[in-house]
Amino acid sequence: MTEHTDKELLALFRDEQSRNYGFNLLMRQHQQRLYGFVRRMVTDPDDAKDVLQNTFIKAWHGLETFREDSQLYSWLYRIAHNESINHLNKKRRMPFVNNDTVTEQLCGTLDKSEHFSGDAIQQKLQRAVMRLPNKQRAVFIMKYFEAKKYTEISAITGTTVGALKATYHIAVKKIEEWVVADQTKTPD
Amino acid sequence: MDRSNLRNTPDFRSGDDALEREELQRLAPTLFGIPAEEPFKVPAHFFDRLPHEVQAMVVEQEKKPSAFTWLWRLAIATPVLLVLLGAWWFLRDSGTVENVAVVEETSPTIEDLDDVDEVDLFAALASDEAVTMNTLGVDLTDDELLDYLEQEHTDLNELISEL
Repeated sequence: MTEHTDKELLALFRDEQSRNYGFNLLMRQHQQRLYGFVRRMVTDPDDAKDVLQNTFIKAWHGLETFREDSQLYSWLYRIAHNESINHLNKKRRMPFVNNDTVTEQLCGTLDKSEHFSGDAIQQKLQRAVMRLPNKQRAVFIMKYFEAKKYTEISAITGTTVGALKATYHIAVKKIEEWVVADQTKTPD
Repeated sequence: MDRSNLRNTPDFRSGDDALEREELQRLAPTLFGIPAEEPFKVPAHFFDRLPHEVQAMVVEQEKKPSAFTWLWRLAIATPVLLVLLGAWWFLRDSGTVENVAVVEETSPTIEDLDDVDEVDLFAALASDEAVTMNTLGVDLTDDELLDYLEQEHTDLNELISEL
């Protein structure tokens, strides 16, 4: 697929005649990378679909006033990040539901082969990631799986680089501890 | 299932700088040893359908508000307008009572002397009683009184001789 620049996509979107076409191109260009992040955040494919749909609907409404001082991808990523956190918070606010219940419900996908192809260690890793608090999980995913720079993560989350480094450090230590404990409990 | 292109971000170990890699290895050796894979499967044709689904939802949302907001605005505006009209009607009837009730009390000033009858003033000053300006409801210092007399072009000597 041909990559389009932000300028080209925005010009197409801002023209009434080519708005739908421009937005379609924008989605096709960015949806897979955003999906990767969202899916790791919520695990469940249906939840990931809802979050991604809301992300692009918000983008549609916000594009008219989008200021070109930031990259389109970073802006979309920021919306996806906020939508993922809001989605998870909403789930946790439901009556008679606690954190563990939500985590277990979301991790249910990991047991189904039609949704998850990883081996036992990948499953343990993902379960451990799901145990992290939402914001910590987002930082861990962006740094560990997507190798983003701290400055980029800072622009997305609105957190200082120092705080991000500390968050990532804590998250890594927790994940290591949980994965090791899980391996000791059920050795492969 | 379509797994293509889900992981198009760089391998976390190839993009990181050496320091971060070393730190991860030291801090979490088990985590460091887990191979970087993308274990999630994407539902078939997901990325082909999503743009159409989102655009259909946007169109649906944009259709709804036009009819909905018009009725909604009318539904909110009517009772608010009626309440405001009622309040105006009520206040209009009771307005006179309110006007009478508001009486502002202020300290007298030099301008208030314009309202004092000069005859009464001189009469009061001439009386044997220890009359002060307070008797007349005016509280003035000697300087203020002199300023007033000067302003009125009153000859002080003439005034004293009259008294």
